[in-house]
Amino acid sequence: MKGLRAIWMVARRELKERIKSRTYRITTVILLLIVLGAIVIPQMFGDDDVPTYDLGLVGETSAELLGTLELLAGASDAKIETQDYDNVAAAEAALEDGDIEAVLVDGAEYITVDPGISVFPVTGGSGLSSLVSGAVQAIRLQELAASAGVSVDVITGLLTENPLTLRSLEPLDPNRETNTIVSFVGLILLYVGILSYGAWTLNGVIEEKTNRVVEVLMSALRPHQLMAGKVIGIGLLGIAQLLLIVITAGAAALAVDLVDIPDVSGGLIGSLLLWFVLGFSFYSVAYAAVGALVSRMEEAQSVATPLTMVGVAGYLAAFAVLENPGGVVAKLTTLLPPTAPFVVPIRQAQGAITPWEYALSVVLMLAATYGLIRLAGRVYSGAILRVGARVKLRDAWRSAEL
Amino acid sequence: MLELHNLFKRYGEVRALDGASLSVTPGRMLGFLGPNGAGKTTAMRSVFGLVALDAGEVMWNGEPIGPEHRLHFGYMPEQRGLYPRMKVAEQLVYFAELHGMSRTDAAGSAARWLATLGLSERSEDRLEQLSHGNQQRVQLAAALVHDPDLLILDEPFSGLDPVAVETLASSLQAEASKGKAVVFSSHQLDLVEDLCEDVVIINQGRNVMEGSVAYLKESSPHRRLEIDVANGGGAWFPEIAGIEEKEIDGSLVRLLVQKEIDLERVLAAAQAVGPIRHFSFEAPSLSEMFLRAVTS
Repeated sequence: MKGLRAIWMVARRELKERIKSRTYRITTVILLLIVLGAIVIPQMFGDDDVPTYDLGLVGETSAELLGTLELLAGASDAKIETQDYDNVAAAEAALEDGDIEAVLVDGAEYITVDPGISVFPVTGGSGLSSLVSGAVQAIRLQELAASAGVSVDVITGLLTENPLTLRSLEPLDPNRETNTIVSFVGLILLYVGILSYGAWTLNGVIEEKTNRVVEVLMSALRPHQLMAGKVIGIGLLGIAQLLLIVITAGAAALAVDLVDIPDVSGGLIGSLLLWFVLGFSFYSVAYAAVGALVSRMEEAQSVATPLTMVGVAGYLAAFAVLENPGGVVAKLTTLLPPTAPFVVPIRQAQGAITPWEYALSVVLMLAATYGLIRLAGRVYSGAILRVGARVKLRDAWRSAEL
Repeated sequence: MLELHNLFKRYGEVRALDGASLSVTPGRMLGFLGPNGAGKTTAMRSVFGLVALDAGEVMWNGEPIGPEHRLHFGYMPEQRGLYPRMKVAEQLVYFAELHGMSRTDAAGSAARWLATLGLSERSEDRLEQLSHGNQQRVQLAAALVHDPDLLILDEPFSGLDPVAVETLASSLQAEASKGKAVVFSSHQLDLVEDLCEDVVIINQGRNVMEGSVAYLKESSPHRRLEIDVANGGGAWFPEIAGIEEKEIDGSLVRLLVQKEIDLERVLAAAQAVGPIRHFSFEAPSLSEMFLRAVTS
């Protein structure tokens, strides 16, 4: 009980002192502004989101064709503005100048600048060429139907109704797309959070060594208590900052109608939080151990780099997994504790992880973190009181008193 | 009662502790002396488990010292250090709580110690805003704030001005008189002689002298003899056995002699020359005994 109380005392001090610090407040505000900006600014300037096509017209263009064109454009959230030209030469000049995107001559010839654009066959899409060709086809079909005595409604019905019944082997998950977006954003937050709050732990450990308060602390605390308290305190602070950002971002996104809250599965959010805690604990404990090896802030970078590289590798692995969430790389990185925090939420969002894989990865992660706490605790206690030159890992291990 | 018994510790080829021992009784103050590098800091750290000893026993009231005991000890390390950006009072409350005090008790105790050390007005300042001497006082308060039964202070007087030395000395005496065991190391031997009942002198990791200051002085084989005889130039001093050093300063003769010297003969010879204006026959100072112990 007393041991836990001591850990909590250390954690509480970390929380209190860091919340009061100017650095924490400023970084929180900056992060909030960035996130809000990223959500709100595109919405402010993106009102005119509807693509508008400028089409030049030469010769005869029937009112039916123009009407159908407008209908089709409207159906695919686009707008068409037409411009009449007296002859083909004038239209081509305007095309060259970029005033218009294409010219329709007599409702039959389509002129563009870039020959790479294929007009036929029409397979949907909202490009101008497919809109025009679609409209021309529709008019011809109507004419054909009329001459064959078939009503226009029948033809329209035939074209808009799905003639097939649908069945898929995997259950339909209407939230899959949203989940992928959320897990992708979550991955970035996890990466930034784990590595930057890990760096706080690293700096905190070195700071206590630099200002030599550590010897007073160690006269009352055991090394693992000091380490655990620090990791928990900074972790809580990190979660608080992340939640603040996520909630603000969510509120802003709702306010500008970017997403609907019910689309995001609560399980995924919970999972992201779980893996943040697991990943942060794992990396932070490792950062604390290497931090104890050095006595000066300038040396922090040199001991932290190998760890940071591992974190970056995990982050990159998650992108590979995003491409192929069921592959060998995905299965392997799920079970490796340094990569699991980045990989597992991505696979979960893709619906590509089995429950037993998920459970095994959590168990392995917990076991690895526990082992790391023991290892790091030993390195920490062997190195924390040695001031001056950088302590070798092996020496720290040997001189540890545990 | 604190007992360090037969401590051994090697750092590579260096023997930091080579069988050193000491014991401190509650209510008494022990001066822990030795030249630089003698092993004092290592021995003191061993009480807090900050050193992995190669051999030796570290006991409190007959039990091997563990984390629970240490919550009732106060420590002021040689390398001073506190949180520079934390407020003075909050810092003390934190250290008191770490040692198991409740928050209310910790706040009360922190306020009392700040008042005792004349720092009440600075309690809301950050540590880094205080002068060096005042930071040192806060450091002492951090060792005392949880009302420890044993105080271990590594060079507590170094770098202090005479006023601060006086404050600190009287605080330590007050603690000892409340029944606490106090151990401190120092190079200010006159101060140790004034303050401490007991001393242990170590050199190269081994005890070279130990016991109560009074006993050590009494049992010293040497005495300082000073005699000032009117009209005497010093040549009158009889050639007797037991004189180790002799220095003549006008009519004043200063000698280091063996304890058993024939004082009757000296006095008779002096009286034969003229009236005696000054005579003293005293045990050597702690400082002298220290030098002799660590250089022999």
